[in-house]
Amino acid sequence: MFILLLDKEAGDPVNLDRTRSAIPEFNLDSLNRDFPVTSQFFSELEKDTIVVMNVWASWCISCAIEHPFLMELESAVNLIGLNYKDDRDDAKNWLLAKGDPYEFSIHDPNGTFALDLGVSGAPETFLIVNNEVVLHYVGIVNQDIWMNYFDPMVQEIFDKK
Amino acid sequence: MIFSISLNAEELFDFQDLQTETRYYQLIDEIRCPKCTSGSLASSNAPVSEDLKKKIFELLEDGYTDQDIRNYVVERFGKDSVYQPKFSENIFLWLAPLVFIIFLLSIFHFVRR
Repeated sequence: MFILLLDKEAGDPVNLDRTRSAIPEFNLDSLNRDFPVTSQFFSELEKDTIVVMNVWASWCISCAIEHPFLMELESAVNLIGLNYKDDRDDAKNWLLAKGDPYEFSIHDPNGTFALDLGVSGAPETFLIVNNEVVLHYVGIVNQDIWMNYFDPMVQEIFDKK
Repeated sequence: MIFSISLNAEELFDFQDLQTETRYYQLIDEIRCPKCTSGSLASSNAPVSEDLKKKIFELLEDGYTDQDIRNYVVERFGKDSVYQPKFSENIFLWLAPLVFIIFLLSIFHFVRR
C-alpha cells in the first residue's frame, strides 16, 4: 500500500512516460515487401487521423490470444501492424492462417523502430494521432481494455474535430 | 551444448577504447531490463535487453554522454528504468528516514522528561 501511495503509476500497463511523444525516425519495409514505410507515413497523415498500431509477432503466444479481438476491431479503426523481431515468412504464414486484421504491417526484423518507441515485447498497442503517441498500452488488448483505455481517447479526439 | 548456449548469451562488442568499454559496463549495470521485474540490463538476455545493449553501444560510439544515454532510456522505458531515482521527484522518499529519526528522538526526549 505504501508503494501504491508513493507511485500511482506502479503496475499500470500504460507507459505514461511515452505519452505525447513524437514518432521517431525510421526507414523500414512493409511485411509484404511491396512498399517502403518511413516516418513520413505518420507525418503525412491527414490531421486528426487516428491510427492504432499493434506490435505483434508470429512467435508471440499472447498475440494469438489477442488476435480475434483485432479482427473485430479492424472495421472500426485504422489498424496497422508492427511486426516485431520476426521472420518475414513466418509472419506472413501466421496472417494467412489466422486472418489479417491490419491494413498493412511494418516489418521490423531487428526491432530498431520498436526500441525507439519504447517497446519491450509483444503485444503492445499504440494510439497515434498527428504524429504523436497518445497512448502506449503494454499487453493484450480486449473489449474491456479497449473501452477503458482507448475508447475515451478516441471519443475525445472525435469531439475535438 | 550447455556451454555453447552460455557462450552465445552475450553479444560482444568492439569498443574503440577501454574507457568506453568501462562506461558501457557501468551503464548496463545501472539501467534496468525493461522486461524484467527487477534486474539490470547486464543480468538479462531478454531480446529487448540485447537490443538495448546494442543501442547503448552504438550511442557510446556516436559520442553520447552517460547522461544522454540515461535520458534516452528513461524517455522510452520510463523513469523506473534507471536504478538511481531522481532526488527532485522523490523528496519524500529520500527525506522520510530523516523525518522518522527526528520524530523518534523527539518522543524519547519528551518521555525522559
